[in-house]
Order: sequence, then C-alpha cells, then structure tokens
Amino acid sequence: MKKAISMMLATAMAATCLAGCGSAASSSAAASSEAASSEATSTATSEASTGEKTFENNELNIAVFEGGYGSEYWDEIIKRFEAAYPGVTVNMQISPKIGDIIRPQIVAGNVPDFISMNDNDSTGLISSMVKEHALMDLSDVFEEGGIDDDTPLKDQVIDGLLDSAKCSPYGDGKIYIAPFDASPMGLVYNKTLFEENGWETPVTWDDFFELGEKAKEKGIALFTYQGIYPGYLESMLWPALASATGIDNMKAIASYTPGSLSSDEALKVFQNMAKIGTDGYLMDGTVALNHTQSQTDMMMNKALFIPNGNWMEGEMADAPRADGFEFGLTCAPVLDDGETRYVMSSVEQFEIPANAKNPELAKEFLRFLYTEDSVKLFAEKANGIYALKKANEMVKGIVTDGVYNMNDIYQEGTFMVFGWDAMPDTSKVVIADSVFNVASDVMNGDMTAEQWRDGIEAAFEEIAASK
Amino acid sequence: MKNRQNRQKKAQPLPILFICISVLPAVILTLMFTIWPTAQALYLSFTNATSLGLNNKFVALDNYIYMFHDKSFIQALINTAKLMAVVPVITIFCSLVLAFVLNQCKLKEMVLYRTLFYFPNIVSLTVVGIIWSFVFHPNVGIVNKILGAVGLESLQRSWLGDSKTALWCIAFTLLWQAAGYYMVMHIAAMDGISPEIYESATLDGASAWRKLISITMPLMKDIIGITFVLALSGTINLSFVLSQVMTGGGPNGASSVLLQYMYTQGFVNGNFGYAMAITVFTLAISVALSMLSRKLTDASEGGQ
Repeated sequence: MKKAISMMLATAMAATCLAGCGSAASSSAAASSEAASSEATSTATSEASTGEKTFENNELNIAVFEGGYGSEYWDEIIKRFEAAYPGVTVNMQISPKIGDIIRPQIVAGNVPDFISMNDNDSTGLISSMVKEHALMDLSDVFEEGGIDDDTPLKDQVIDGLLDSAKCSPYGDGKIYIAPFDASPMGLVYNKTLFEENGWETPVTWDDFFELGEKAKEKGIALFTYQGIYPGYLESMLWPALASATGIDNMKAIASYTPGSLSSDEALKVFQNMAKIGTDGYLMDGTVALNHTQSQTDMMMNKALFIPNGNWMEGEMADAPRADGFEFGLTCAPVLDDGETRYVMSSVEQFEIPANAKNPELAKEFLRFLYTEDSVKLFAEKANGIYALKKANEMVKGIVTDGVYNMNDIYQEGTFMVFGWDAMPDTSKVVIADSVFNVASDVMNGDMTAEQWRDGIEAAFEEIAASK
Repeated sequence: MKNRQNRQKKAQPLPILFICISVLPAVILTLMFTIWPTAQALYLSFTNATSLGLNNKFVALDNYIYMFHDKSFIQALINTAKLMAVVPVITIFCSLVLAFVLNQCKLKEMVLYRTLFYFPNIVSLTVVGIIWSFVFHPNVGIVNKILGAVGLESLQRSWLGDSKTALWCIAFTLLWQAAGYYMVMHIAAMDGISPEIYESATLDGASAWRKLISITMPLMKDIIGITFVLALSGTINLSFVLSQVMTGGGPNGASSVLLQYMYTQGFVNGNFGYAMAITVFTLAISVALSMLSRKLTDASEGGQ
C-alpha cells in the first residue's frame, strides 16, 4: 500500500514537471542556434565579398501562431532562408498560444524580431500592440520590389488589402501589418445538393428567400450559423453591407463613424438578416448550437447555407456528411441585381515590433516569404494561399480541390477585407460583441432589425465620444 | 542518551530561528505568487493598461465608475448573483442528502454510488460542458427527446439558445458537477458522528428525515459552513468555464458571468486595466460573501 502511494506521488510529481514544459515547442533550429549565433555575428562582416546581402546581426527571432496550417511550412521555409542567407540563424517559437507566450517576453524587453499571428488573435496581443504604437512601419518593404519579382510588393498584394484598416490600422496610409494568407469567406453550400435539385446560387436577397421556399418543400432549412459564436455572421453581414452601402462606407464603419449605418439600404440588410429568423428560414435550434454542431448539420443537408471560410474543408475533415457532399462557396446576397458583390477574406498577418532587435533581417525574411518558392511551399505544406495576386495561379494543382474550388468565389465577387480601426485608448466597448451578440435575439424575434442597427450606432457614438 | 532525556524534560524556549527558517519558503512563495500579483492587479485596476502595459496612465477610479454604466458588466453581475444565490444552497443541500443516504442506509453498493457521484469531478470541466451541451442539444439532445417521448413537445426548446433557460442550464450542470465532491466531504464528516446518537434516535422513533435535520445538520454545522464557502467560490470560478464552453455567454449575454466578461475585456479587447478592476470587484464580492457566511454559521453556533 505504502509503495503504491509513493509511486502515485512520484508519478504526480513527474507529471507536474512535464506539464511545465509542454507549452511552447521550439524548432529544431533553435536548439543549436545559441552557440552558432555568436560565431555568426562575428563573421557577418567578412561575408560581404560573396555578393549576398549581409547583415550586422545574423540572428533572427521569430514567433509564429500555430493554427490549422501546422508548423511544417515554417520549419521548411526557415531551412530555405538559412540556406539562402549563409550565416543567418533563425530561432522560432511556435505555439497555438504564442500571444500568451511572447507577451511577458515583450514586456520584459525581450522582443521577437518577427511575429506571425492569426486573423482573430484571441490573446489580444496585436490589438494591444496597435494601441501602444509598438509595431514597426513596414511601408518601405512594400514600396520595394520583391526578391524574385521587380514589381513593387504593394502591387503584388491583392488590391484593397494594404490600405484597409487591417494592414493600416491608424488610417494614415502607413502599413504596420503585412498580409499572410487570404482565405475567402462567404456562404458555404453543398454543390452536389444544388446540382441534384437544379438550384442556382442566389444573387439577390429575393432570390435567396425564394430558394428558401423551395428548400422548405424538401424539408431543408435555408440557413444556419454557428449559434453561440455569432461572430461567424461577419462573412455575410459585412459583404452584404458593402454591396448595399458602398465599399467606401465600409471604411466609415470600420472607423466607428456614427451614422455610417443610418441609410435605408443598411437597414434593409439588417431587416433581411432578421427575416431569416423571423420568417422561418433558420434551421431549428440554430441559436443554441456551437460551430461544430451547426457545421455538421449543414453538411448533413439540414440547411443549405452556413457562413464560413475555405478552411471549413480542413476543419471538418473527419465530420460525417451527406453522400457526395462537395464544398461550394458563394457571395452574400445583394439588394439589387446590378450591385457589386463582395467576398470578405480572412487574412492572417505578419508584424515586426517597433523595438525589434534585428529589423533589417526581419524585413528581408518578410520579403523572402513573398517569393514564389515560399508561396508554393505554403500551398504544399499547409494547403493555404498567400494574399498575392499571382498566388492563385501558382497553387493550382498543389492545394486540395475543395480549397481551390472555393477560391472560385473570386470570379463572382470582388475581394474585400474588414478589420476594425485601432480602438481609442479610453474606450471599453467590445465592438464585435456589440454587433454580433444580439444576433440570437434578432433571430428569435425578441429584437427588431432597427434595434439591432441602433445598438451598433449607439456603440459607435460611445466610441466617438471617447476619441 | 541521558542528555537527550534531560533536554526533553526541561521546559524549552521556542526555537524561534528554526521556525522562521521553516516558515520562510512558504511565506516567500505566498508573497511572490499570491500577494504580489494581487497587489499588481489592484494597482492595474487604477490604470488604463493594455495587455502589454507599456505606457500605463493612472486613471484613478475611472474603471470602477465606468463599470456601473456598462450594461454588459451589469448583466454579467446579475447573472453571477443569480447563480450564487441558487447554486451553492442547492448543491450543499443535495450533497448533504446524498451523503446522509449513503451513510445511513448501509447500502451494499455504497462504494459504487460514492464513485459514481464523485465521477463528474474527475472529468475535466470543459468535457463536462461539452457533454451537457449535447444533453441540451435542440435537435438530438436527450432532454428534448425525452420530453417528446412523453408527449411534452410543448416544453421542448433550444435550451442553451433561449435567454430564459441558458443560465439555468449552466446552473444545473454546475450542480451535477459539484454535488458529488461536497458529498464526499460530508460523508467524511458524518463518519465522525457517533452511531450511538443515531441509535438512540431510532429507539425514540425518529424518522430518517428528522435525524438528518435534528442530528446530522447541527453536528456538522462547521463543515457545512466551510463547504458552503467553497461552493460559493466554486460557483464564481467554474461558471466561467461552463458558460464559455456551453453558451459562449450568449444568447446576447444572457448567460455571461463576471469572470467571462473580465476575460473578454482583458484578452479580446486588450483592456487590462478595466479587466483588473472587474477582477478586484469580483474578489471583493467573494471575500465579503465568505466572511458573511462564516459570520452567520458562527453566530448560530453561539446561539445554541
């Protein structure tokens, strides 16, 4: 008995020790780097004769968010970067919790040279860095040509991205956040189901609800969304508003301008969203489901559409689905036939902190990531597509069919991104919650479309007052 | 040998130095990991710190003043208050009844039941949340299925998506999860009550219910007071995880709780200062409530 107890205690202690080191994975390159880096620094200047670009400091510390794309791409691209720039060592920290890991490092003055972060950084690190003006101005990188292509990088990036609040958060035209991938978002549907029934994807809201009636006859709901995570509705609401009120107005919305939602067109969009719930087009029980539950129901043909992005294929790879299910992605509906349709895209990002120790090498690394070699490698290892105009052509045959097919949505609509401006220091409004949390009440009919719109306007007023 | 015996016999002065050295590690650790962070949180709550805290400005009581104009905060506060008013009382009562039944009925399967009731505590709380979100699932959930099977379709609803029921679903899950834990504590305390008291009560013709009310509960007043305080703080802490997993605080904040709103402000919005103000406020509430409930148990003890 005693022995058993002491064994248990020992195991428990061992477990706690192990738990302590389970948080951050370091790349294999990092292990040997400490010794190598000091040598590298001393020999850096002597390499000037090789004709390669050389740097005073040859050590680059990068911090990478590890999400659905995994770490293989990063391991490989670092190897290639080190091979292309002899003497350079890259130390990588990669973790799904990277924000939490590097925050104390940044506070302590141990700042990484380069950060790669997901679009909706749930650790709040990047939004804090934006507020604190702790990011470096990267405009000069985008003015120059790329490494393997002389076109200035700003012209290589997909139009409408660099001047958005996402990349230029202070609205002064300077780029502080560099785009990584572009994943189209919109309404995901089952192509096979549409072909079997001879249905067309809807263009206007009228088409949309007409299709809803047809689906009802088959016992299928028109629409579902990720119930308790109503934030997913963004991939429908923002493009629909962009079509209805004009893409320029989206900048006003993103900068919390009071009145930017006051037009009748804007109200019509909110009314149509509400109509989904109040007129019975919403799948039963939607408001109570989480993302996996609602996405599974949609893939079982219980609903025609769900707002999501092209990563849904990978995310739901093991989920049950209707026979012959094939991913399709279409734009949010528009009010009138002639209006421009928009495709909102999720863009992951790169940053260089303002007080990075080695900004020159970090910028070179950023340029290196935008080369054809890297774009193809990213498609191969991570099934993702860089936010570059030429990327779509380059990745053909490399990414999976589902992802490539869903990229067809750019034939239907124009690229757009939506990202909120930096929040004024003193404001405590949680803007995404103010916009989307009420969705369940609107869908249940407890709240009208006007109240929804007015609530967002009220949040804008409060933010404007604290500027 | 002789020397040692002598020493033991003499009244010795306290080995003050030794005690100090022995206590020191615990004091240092407490200072480092409890007192210092708490002081930091208190300080940050008077600033407009972001999650980086590079250029904190002192804003005095602004965060605390804003709190009471903030609808989301007030909603979270009311929800937390509702949970704290209901969950600990019912949890302790249920666990007491369970403990009493297991302790008094001399069931053969007692060990089995004790294990079963304790089981929810071994499972990670996130897993508990996921399991229950499927129990309350509007389309395939067992609750709606059972209601349908017994002809109560009119009561079926999307439990976690309805603003009237979402919070109570979380309350029920908290109860299910915690009752077994306090039951084990209560069983341990009950084992300490002399069986003779129960025997004489039985001879006097007391019912099981009477025994629970008139013997067990008064004799266990102390431990009940302690478990009640534990249940209070457990409710504040655990409701965050369940609400995050089961409803995301929704619909429209109907099931959001204080710590969840703190998390949203701190980690989603990057308002560390404000988040710390919410934390300090929550801490104040839980300390006040714990002290109050200790006072109440002490007072009623004194009265007897």
